[in-house]
Amino acid sequence: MGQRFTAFQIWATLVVMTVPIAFLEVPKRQLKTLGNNAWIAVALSLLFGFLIYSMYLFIIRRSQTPFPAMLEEHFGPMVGRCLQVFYFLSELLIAAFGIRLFVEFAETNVLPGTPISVHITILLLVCFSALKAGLTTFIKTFEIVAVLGALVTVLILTMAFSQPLDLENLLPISNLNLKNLAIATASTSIIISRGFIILVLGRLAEDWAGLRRAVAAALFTYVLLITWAVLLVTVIFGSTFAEMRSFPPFAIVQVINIGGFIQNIDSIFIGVWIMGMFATTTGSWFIGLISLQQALRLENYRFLAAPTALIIGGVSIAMAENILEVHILSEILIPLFYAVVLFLIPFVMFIRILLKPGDSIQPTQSIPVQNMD
Amino acid sequence: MRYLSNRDKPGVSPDPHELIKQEITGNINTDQANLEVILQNCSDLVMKRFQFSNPPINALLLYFDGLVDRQEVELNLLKPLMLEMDMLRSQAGDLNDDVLDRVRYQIVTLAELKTITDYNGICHHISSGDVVFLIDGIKEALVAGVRTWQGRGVERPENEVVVYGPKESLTETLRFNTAMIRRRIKSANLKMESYVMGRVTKTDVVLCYISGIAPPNLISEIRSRLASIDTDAVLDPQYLQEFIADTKNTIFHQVEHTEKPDRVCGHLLEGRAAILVDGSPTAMILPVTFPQFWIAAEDYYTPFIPASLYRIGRFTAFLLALLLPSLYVAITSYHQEMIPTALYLTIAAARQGVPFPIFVEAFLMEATFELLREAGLRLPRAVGPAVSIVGALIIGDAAVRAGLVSTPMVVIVAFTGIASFLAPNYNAALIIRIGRFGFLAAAAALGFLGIMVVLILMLVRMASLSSFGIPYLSPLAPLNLAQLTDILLRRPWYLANKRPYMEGMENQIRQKSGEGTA
Repeated sequence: MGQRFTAFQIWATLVVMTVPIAFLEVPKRQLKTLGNNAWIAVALSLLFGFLIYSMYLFIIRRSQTPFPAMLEEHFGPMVGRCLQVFYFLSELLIAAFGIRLFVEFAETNVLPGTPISVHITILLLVCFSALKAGLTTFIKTFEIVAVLGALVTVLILTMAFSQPLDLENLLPISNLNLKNLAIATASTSIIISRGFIILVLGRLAEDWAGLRRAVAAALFTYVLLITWAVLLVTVIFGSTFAEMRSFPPFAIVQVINIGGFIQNIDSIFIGVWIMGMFATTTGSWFIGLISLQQALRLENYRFLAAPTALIIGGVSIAMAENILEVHILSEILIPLFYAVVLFLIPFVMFIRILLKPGDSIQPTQSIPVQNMD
Repeated sequence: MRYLSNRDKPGVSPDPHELIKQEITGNINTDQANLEVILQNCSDLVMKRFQFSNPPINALLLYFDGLVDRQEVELNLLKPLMLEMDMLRSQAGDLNDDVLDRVRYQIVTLAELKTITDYNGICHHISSGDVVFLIDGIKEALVAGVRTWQGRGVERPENEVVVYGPKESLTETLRFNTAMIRRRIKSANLKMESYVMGRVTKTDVVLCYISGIAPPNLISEIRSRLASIDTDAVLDPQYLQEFIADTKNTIFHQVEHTEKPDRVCGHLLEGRAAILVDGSPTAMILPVTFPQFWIAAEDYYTPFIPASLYRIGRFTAFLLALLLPSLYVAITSYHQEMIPTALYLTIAAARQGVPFPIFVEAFLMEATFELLREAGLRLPRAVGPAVSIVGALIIGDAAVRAGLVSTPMVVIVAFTGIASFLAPNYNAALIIRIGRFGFLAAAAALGFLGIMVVLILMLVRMASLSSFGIPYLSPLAPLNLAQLTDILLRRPWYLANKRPYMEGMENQIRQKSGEGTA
């Protein structure tokens, strides 16, 4: 494809792939694990995030093809194509989980009583329209979503300063269980690996320096926003109260009251958040589709969007009975799943490239890279 | 057999569609007969047979009444022929060999003269307001440009009203329009390429651009798209728009229409192209992006600080006009907790007794408002505003008194209507008017969530569009911060050193000493 992506587009894509879902998943998990010190784990994820993105950039630099064709390049045609099918299924599952998490969020806070199937169908519909429009189009949409989402988030987090802040809630910092800190940091960092889409877009970036800048800026944005949110939740509510909430950052939005007129703006927040979830889901779904397209050597991936929408919808409904089960999935299974799909396999690829002598890069003419636009 | 019998039958006139393709015979009697067949039933045709010179030469003059300046024909064509040809003959002797050249270069004093060789050319030129002059024994005809017709003069623009700045509007006469543009851009680089489009209408179409500023790839793309059009009629730029737009099935216009020549020039100076169609008082500008629709011509005639504030106000008004009714429906139906209790109680009290659900109430009010607006536009100018005002006041008041609608809804619809009038472009206002109903339905179904869903669908659709290869949402997506600032705020002239960038643009520098070439 001739289209090249700007550094800003890559930043926007990485932000929308990581931040919206992290807002829903990370704070509760960290507050539960580390209590008042949850923010330290989030801040520390900057270091691990840096390592993860460095690994991705190294893989891009040393590959001649973008993801998913690079799986064949580094693992051989047989294993590579099996992994492509595995990624197809995994990314659909990730998309299904993201949708379900958001639907529970919306269901709990804004539209209780609406069947979750309605929410799921609507979210799938918008993602489907984006996929049918193609990569170039939805990346352009992500730019707007990222800017709008970041502005609203910063605005809301800033407005939260109008609430009474109790800095004592952050104490005692010294009461830090290192094992829990490691677990919390790892589980926060693993969300960063949702920026895995960089393996697809990296080779389509306008320039390498811009790509590196975009990745660094996306990582910084992620850590800044999530640390800010966790810190605010802790100082406003205290970790004990905050961890009891299904979606702790959302509690901040609910208490904002400015001048007795601007109040209960949670609906607006959720309205904006759907844009983020749209982007996250579209991104995962897209990676799944191009993986299958590459594995089956299909001309186009867009026609796969309709049948896979049914799979995502079905899995999304069937994966959990209620919000409690969703939280269990979110706290235990999904981080492990992310770790395998988004970190471990790329890590193996990274090791293979590292061990491969520099001059032994195999010719890749035999791997036809399918059109991803 | 039937064909054969017709062929043999005497007196059957030849097919005019076949005749028109033929060349001029040079025999004045045959040519006249053929042209009478081709132009039969054209009561406005003037076909004058006359003789000039001595010994007399037969000639034929053709034109359509009403399209030519008759005084010009008599003074500069017929009179010289009748009087001066004799003098020339007495001086130069026999003229039989080069009579046409003599007429063309020594007798007729008109500036615009050319020759043609076929009936099709004759028909095209007389339809365009030229006079055609045939001479016996010569297989060419002389065309003299003496076009004139009664047309609307240059008036104030009706749809793009401005307080400051030029108040001229384009007219239905193509040449007036090109002249108005050329008068403002006195550069040899201002190019006006002519096309004749429409198999039946043979409409003159002009493509304007500034060579050296407009990207050459854009101009060749426009040329190729224009060349691919094969239709029988072009009466307005809108006819062309639907042929040449990148995406056809969308409510988002990918070209801009303007009736102000200064606005056309502004666009040309930014590297865009304009298409003018004879008979239409609007110019089509291309390519355009969505944010450009919110820039008014007047912004550039107002000091930059107020102009920037107006522009921000216009963007805000766009969002209000699009979303206000749906936000009202979403808040009052689903998210009542968002507004203070006192305000909600006021709204609830006002709605007491209203028999419709809030969505139906909003939909009916919006639809009524649109009807009144359309009625105001279509009715004669003297009656239209009166009907709109009477309709809005009386029907609105009556509906509230009858308890059919609530007062807050009237306020919301009125405010939305006012906000939508801030759109400087009619096509942009259309997007708001159509889109508003989609948002309204979504808000009624899912509250804020529904509004956001429609917003995402709209963004995806807009992001998928382009206007001659320029992304429709640029400079918003793909983001170009410098150009976005220039769209959101009106940059002072002394800082506007560069033109908005377009791929392939050769000269982006607008005003750095020594660097502008156009």
